[in-house]
Parts: sequence; C-alpha cells; structure tokens
Amino acid sequence: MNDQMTFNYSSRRAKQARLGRVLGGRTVYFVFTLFIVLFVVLGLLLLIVLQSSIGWLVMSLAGPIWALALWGKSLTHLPPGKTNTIDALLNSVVLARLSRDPSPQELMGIIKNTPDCNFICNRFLLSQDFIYDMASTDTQAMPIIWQQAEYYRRAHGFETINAAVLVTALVVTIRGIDDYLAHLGVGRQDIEKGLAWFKHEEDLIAAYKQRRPKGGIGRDWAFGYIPLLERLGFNISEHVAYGGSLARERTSRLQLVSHITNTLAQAGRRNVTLVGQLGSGKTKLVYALAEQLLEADPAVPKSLHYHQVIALDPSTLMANARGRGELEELVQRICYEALRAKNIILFFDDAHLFFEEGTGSVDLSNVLMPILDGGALRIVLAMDEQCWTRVAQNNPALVQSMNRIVVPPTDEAETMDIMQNQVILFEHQQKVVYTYQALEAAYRLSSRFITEQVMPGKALKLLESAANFSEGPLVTRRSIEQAIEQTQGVKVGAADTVAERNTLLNLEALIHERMINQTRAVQVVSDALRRARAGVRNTNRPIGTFLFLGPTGVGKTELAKSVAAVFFGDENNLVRLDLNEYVRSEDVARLIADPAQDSHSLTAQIARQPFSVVLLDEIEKAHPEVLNTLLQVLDEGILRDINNREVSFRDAVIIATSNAGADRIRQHIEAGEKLEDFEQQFTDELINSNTFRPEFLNRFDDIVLFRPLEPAELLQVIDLILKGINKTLAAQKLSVVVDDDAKQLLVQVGYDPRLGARPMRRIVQRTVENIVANQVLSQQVQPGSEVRITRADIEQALSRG
Amino acid sequence: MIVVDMLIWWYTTAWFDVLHKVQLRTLRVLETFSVGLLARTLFAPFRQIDAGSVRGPLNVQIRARLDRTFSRVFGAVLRSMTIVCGCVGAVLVLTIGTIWAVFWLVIPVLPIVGVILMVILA
Repeated sequence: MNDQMTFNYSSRRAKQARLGRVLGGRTVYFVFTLFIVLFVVLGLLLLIVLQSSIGWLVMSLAGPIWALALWGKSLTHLPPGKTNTIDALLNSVVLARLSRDPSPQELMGIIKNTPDCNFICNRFLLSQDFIYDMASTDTQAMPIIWQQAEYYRRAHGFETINAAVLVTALVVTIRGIDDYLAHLGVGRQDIEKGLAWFKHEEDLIAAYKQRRPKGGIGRDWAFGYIPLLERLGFNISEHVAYGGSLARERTSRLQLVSHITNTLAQAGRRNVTLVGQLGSGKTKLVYALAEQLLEADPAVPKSLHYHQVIALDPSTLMANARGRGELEELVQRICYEALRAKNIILFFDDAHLFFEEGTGSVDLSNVLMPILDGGALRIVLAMDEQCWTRVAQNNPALVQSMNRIVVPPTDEAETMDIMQNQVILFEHQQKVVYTYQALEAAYRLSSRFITEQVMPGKALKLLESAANFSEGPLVTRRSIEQAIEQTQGVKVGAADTVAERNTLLNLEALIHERMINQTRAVQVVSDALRRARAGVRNTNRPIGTFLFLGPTGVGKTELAKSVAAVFFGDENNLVRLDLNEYVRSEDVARLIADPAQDSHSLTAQIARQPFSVVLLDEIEKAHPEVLNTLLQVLDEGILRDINNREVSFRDAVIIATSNAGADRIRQHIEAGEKLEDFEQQFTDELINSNTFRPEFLNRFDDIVLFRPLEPAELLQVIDLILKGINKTLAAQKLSVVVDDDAKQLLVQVGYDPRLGARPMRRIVQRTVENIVANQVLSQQVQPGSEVRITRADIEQALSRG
Repeated sequence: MIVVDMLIWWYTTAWFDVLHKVQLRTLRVLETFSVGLLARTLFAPFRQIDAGSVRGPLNVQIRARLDRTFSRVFGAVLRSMTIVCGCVGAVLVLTIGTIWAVFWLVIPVLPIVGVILMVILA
C-alpha cells in the first residue's frame, strides 16, 4: 500500500478548502457584496452630504472586504497542491466536505448528485442511492479507493480528483457489484471508459469555450471578392466560423487532415481526392480542414492560412446554366474567380457527379482536367471507391491528375470518440441523454446490420434515429435495438415480451398448426430458433442451416414457410430460390447481381430483408459453382455481391431441400425402420452416389429426413386444408363441415405415396370447393349457415369430375 | 493566518491573473483589427482588384499597372488607418489595464490609504 495515499485532514489545502466552503458560499458572498455597497454609499454620504473626511476611511473599508470575497470564491476552486497526497489532489469541493476519517459511504454521500457524479451514473444508469447503500462504512477501505482514484486521475489526465473519478473508483472497488453491473449490461472496465467519455466531454467544452482567433476585420482584404462563389457555392469556412465545430479529432484523423494540408500546400498539382466508402467521414474531414485553416493553426503551412473552403454541387450549377456550353463557361468563371481571390479551396463533394453524364450529374472533365493538372487552383474532391474505379476506367488521364488520399472506415475506438463528439449535439437537439450502453450497442449493431455505409457514418445514423425511441429522456441500448429493428427489419433484442417468450417456448405447437407430423424436423428447427432468440448462438453464422431431404409433398417447403410466419412474423419473409434455374456456372452472377440491375438476386433480397428464411429448393440440381458460392454463406453467413459489398446472412435461417434419395427413404420406412435409425447410412449413400460432396453436407447444422405421409396423416392434412377454406369463407359468414367418412374417401382417392400430400389440395378443390361454390351461386346457402358435405356428395362430385 | 494567506494569494496568483487578462485583452484588440496580418500585406492590392498580369498593347499594360498601383495605394492607406486604429485601441486597453493592475495592489490596504486621506483632508 502506498503510504502517500492517505488523507490528511489538517493539511493547509484541506483547511483552505473548508474555509472556501464558508467564504465562497452564495450567502456569504452576498453579505460581502452588501457590506461593500454599504461602506461605499455611507462613505460617499459622509463626504458629500456631511462633508466629513471620515468618509474616506469608511469608503476604504470596502477594499479588504472585496479582497476577502474574491479570495473566498477562489478557495472553492483550489489548484492541486505540490505534494502527492490525496488532500493535495482532491477537488476542493469534495475536500471541503470530508470528515477527519471518512468512509466510502460518507464519500458517496458527499459526491452524490454533483454534476460530475451524475454524468457517470446517468451514462450507465447506475443508481446513486444503490451505490451509497453498497459502499462500505469501514474507514479502512479508503486507502484502496484513494489509490484507485489517483490511478484514474493520472491515466485520464485530470488536474484534480473530481467526483467523476471518485464515483468510478468507488464503483469498481465495491465488492459484489458485478451482478448489479451485469444487470445493467456493463462491466467494471466499461465504467472506466465512462470516465474517458467524461474527460472527452470536458475537453470538448473547454476547447469550445476557448476563444479562437479568426483573423479580425482585415482578414480578407488581401484576397479577392467572390460574388459568383458566394451565390452558387456553400461556404464551409463561414459555416464553421459561425457555428463552431464541437469535435476533438483523434490522431489518425488529424493525420489525414495534415496529409490534405501538406498536399494542398505543395508545389505542383495542388488537389486532393478523398476516396472512401459512404459514411467514412470524407465531408467531415473537409470541415475539419476548413476549421484549421480559419484559425491559422500553427500546424498548417502559412500559405494556407485564412483560406476558405467552398463547396459546389452540380445541381446548383446546372440550374444556373441554360445549356452545356453555358455550364462549362460558368464553371470556368467560377474557377477563375477562385484563382483570382487567392484564398479559395474548391470542394466537390460526390465528385463523380462532375465527371459522368446522367440525371443530376454532368461530365465536366474537359473543363476540370486542365485545372487539376495545372495545379494553380486548390481543389478537394470526394467520392466513394466504386465511383473512383468507374472514373478511372472511363478517364484514366483524369485520375492521373488527382492526388488520391484514402479515407478508411474508423475503428471501434475512433468511432466511439466520434460518437461522443456528436452525442453532445444530438442531446442538445433532441433533449435526450445517451447512455454508454446505447453508444456501445450503436457500434455493435450498426457493424452487424447496416451494410450500405461504413463506420463512423452508420453508427451515427443509428444513434440519431434511436432518439425517436428514447425511454423518457434516456436513449438506452433498447432504444438502439428498437431503432435497428424498425429501420432494418431485424430482431436483435433478447425475447422480452411474454407473448414472444410464449411463442418461442411453443414453437413446435405453433408450427404443427400448419403442418402434419415430421416431429424431428420441427424439433431441430425450433431448437435453433430458440437458441437464436435467447442470444446463445454463434453470431458469426446464420441462425440455422438445414438440409431437408425427403419425397415431394411431405412438408419440407411448408416447414420453411411456417418458420417464416411463426418466427419472422410473416410468411413473406421467405426468399425462395429454385436451384433448378441455376444449373450453369454463369448463374452464379445472378445469385450475387447488383441490386440496381436485378432486385431479385439472392444478395439483393437479403440486403433488403436480412431477417428471413432462405429456401434453396432442389439443391441437388444446382451447378457445382453455385454450390461453392453457397458454401461461404453456410460457413460464415457472408456473401459478397458483384460490387464486392458484403451481404450478411447471419440473421437468416437457411433451408435447402432435396428430393434426392426419396425412394430410398420410402424403402427404409416401408421396411419398418425409424428415421433416426438410417439417417447416417442414408447420408453416406448420398455421398457415395456423388449426389452431394461431403464438404457440402458438413456445412449444414442438421440434415433432416422427412418421411412419407401415411393415410392417417393425410386425414389431418385434409383438416388443415378445410381450415383454410373456412377461413376464406368466414368473410361471407359461411362455414363448411365434411363428414369423417367423406374425408376417408378423399384420402382414399388422393393417396399416392410418391406425391405425399400434394394431390390432397387438388382433390379437395375438385370436390369440397366445387360443392360449396355451386351452393353459393344457386343460393342454397345463406350467410350464417353451414355447408355440410357427406360421403355421397363427394362421390357425386368425383363422378362428375 | 487567514489574512496572510489571503494577501499571499492577492499579490501573487490573483495579480498575475490580472496581468495575464490585460495582456490577453490587448492582444485581442490587435487581432480584432488584424494589425499583424495587415502589416504583413500592407502593399498587397486591395481585395485583389486589378491584380494579375495583363497582356496587350503598351497603353493597356501601362493602364493596368496604374490601376494596380492605385489598388495597392488604396489598400495601403486603408490598412494603415486600420493599423493605427488598432494600435490606439490596444494602447488604450493596455493603459486602463495597467492602471487597474496598480490599483489592484492597493485594494487590501485601502483602509491605510483611507486613514491618510482622512488625516490630510480633515
């Protein structure tokens, strides 16, 4: 134990802090002010009215009182002492309130409800009363808290040990707090990250308050007028100067800004093309650049001081020019004006729009290329990687004129920092408070579910939209989950409502409401779905991957539909691919086609609706190249589309079906064997007969055999079909009842062991539905009545058919 | 002890703080009037009017040169005036600040000054 980490109640700083608590209080300060006014007024009265020189003395008494008042105020914000003891390092507000021998509980009582303590507790949803109750009353426990607090102070660069540091030290040193923290979804190490957030915000506010020189009234006198640019462009520098940016960039981002400034300051081609995916923060970097230039930051070369960044967009330019010739002339005039002004950096966001013909875009390569090549005018362009590749393909000479700087997506630490920058703004705009858990969830869930952008853009987008799901004034992890569920159509939170839990616990029963028997298949799929919603599955793979094998008409497709309906809420959450249409190697391209070209490609459908059942029908008929492509999906839950964009299948259930070996299954069943007995043997047969490769079969979580339906089960199928008919007739207030012997007859007529339940629907259509239709049209039945169908009716209908 | 502590603070930390504020305010006035920047660009063409090279017959070039010279002279006059205004403002702020800093030293001992004035002016 470090001896220095003890508290000296009688130190000079501690005494001063206690004195400051008395003298610096509002009431005492008010009394001091009152006395000052009183002495001055009284002195003036004596001097002027009574013409007594005593007035000088009376008036002068205000001096020492004034000094005392200011000193008292200063004692409430004591700078740290020079020694390395706790009383020299503690924040004076806390120090003033400590008793001679404080306990952790007393300390918590002192810091409770202070703004610093509120910050930490609100961000983690920690109950201050609970921490107070949990804190020890043993004064011997203090040295370890002091030591922890001093460690945090040093680690995070705080000047003094404030309430935020103290509450963090208190929480992490409380024994048995882990369960409570786990309940809140955080750990001890997360609480320290909250302290880093507090410091981050403190630094941001300090930087914002600090007056930044902007050049004064004569700043632009040496630079030219820019009337055209003021009319047609957006002055980012002006926006930054008036609004101010509340951001503390991380070193990696500052390095990028520095790279940009150095390129713009160098001789030669003074242009920069920022290339990065949507959401990587290209525009934000340009704003940071504008701010640095405006402040004449010493890190920026002098030749760039007070330069202004002005953004141009093609639609404004096109709106201000009648024809193509006029547009090119306008751009030339703008560039000439910028060149003459000598302090303009032009910024072309979505720069590909200036190099391509199309709706909202115009090809100005001929005008801009000589300017980029010449290097006289400073230009910043921004575009994403695909556009860069496209521009490079169409006009290789143009990209030769550009200095490319890649803007990579941010990592977790950078994204958290950027989110913390932005949260202040969101909180101010939306009148909410974001918890730490919300930020962490925004990073985690946007990484997983938002594919059209990269970090930090996608995390910020999610964070902003979550404000609409705030719980009271708080944006919590649940708010983020709700936001992603709404925007991406996925389910991410653990099952939390009673109804949802009941659904999951009774999945088998619910599925059996739609399909008959196949108990093992239903069981296997239900188990996988329960694992997914309970959060105990491997999140780097699909929810479940199954191969259903069995004859036609036994419920393979029906089970897939049931899963879509019961688990994903709608039968339409089913992406069905008939793989007999993918029999050529070229068909792989159709699987991964660009959504803009083919919205029905597998990747396009899953990108749109990741929370789905993917049904790969008749998989044995697919070309081996197609199967190889699907291997990656089964293995990692990821498939790259033709544009090399990742599409996640990690929230999908993948079901492949095949009729391969259906006759063998029937033979085994007819020989009286149970499915479980010959499952392995059957799989081996499929491998030996080269129907499937072993590495393909191994990728599935389960290979499920479906057995042929027996006549008794077909009776239940008839009931299901009749249930469907009655549902349809309910709109006309009609119902249909079929006698048991009539059902027997239907099964007898429709039974075909090779086709399973499939003929049943046709036979019911030909008999039951026809009878009902005739009775409705001949007005034999009225709304509210029941149509009863006997065996004789069925026989009659069959003889007619 | 309290009085000693207070006086130590008053004549060290607090007084240096007063001096620092005077310095900052003076620099702020100079920056508001862009004194340093204007001095560096004293003879630059005002707002780049008529700056840049002109090609053409001799009379056009002479005219351009005259225009440019006018732009530079106009800029220099305007800048000089602004610099003078800025300097005057800065001196004013500095003077007031210095008086305040000196008065600061007297505040705790004002009663002594009061007694002296009372005796002298009685």
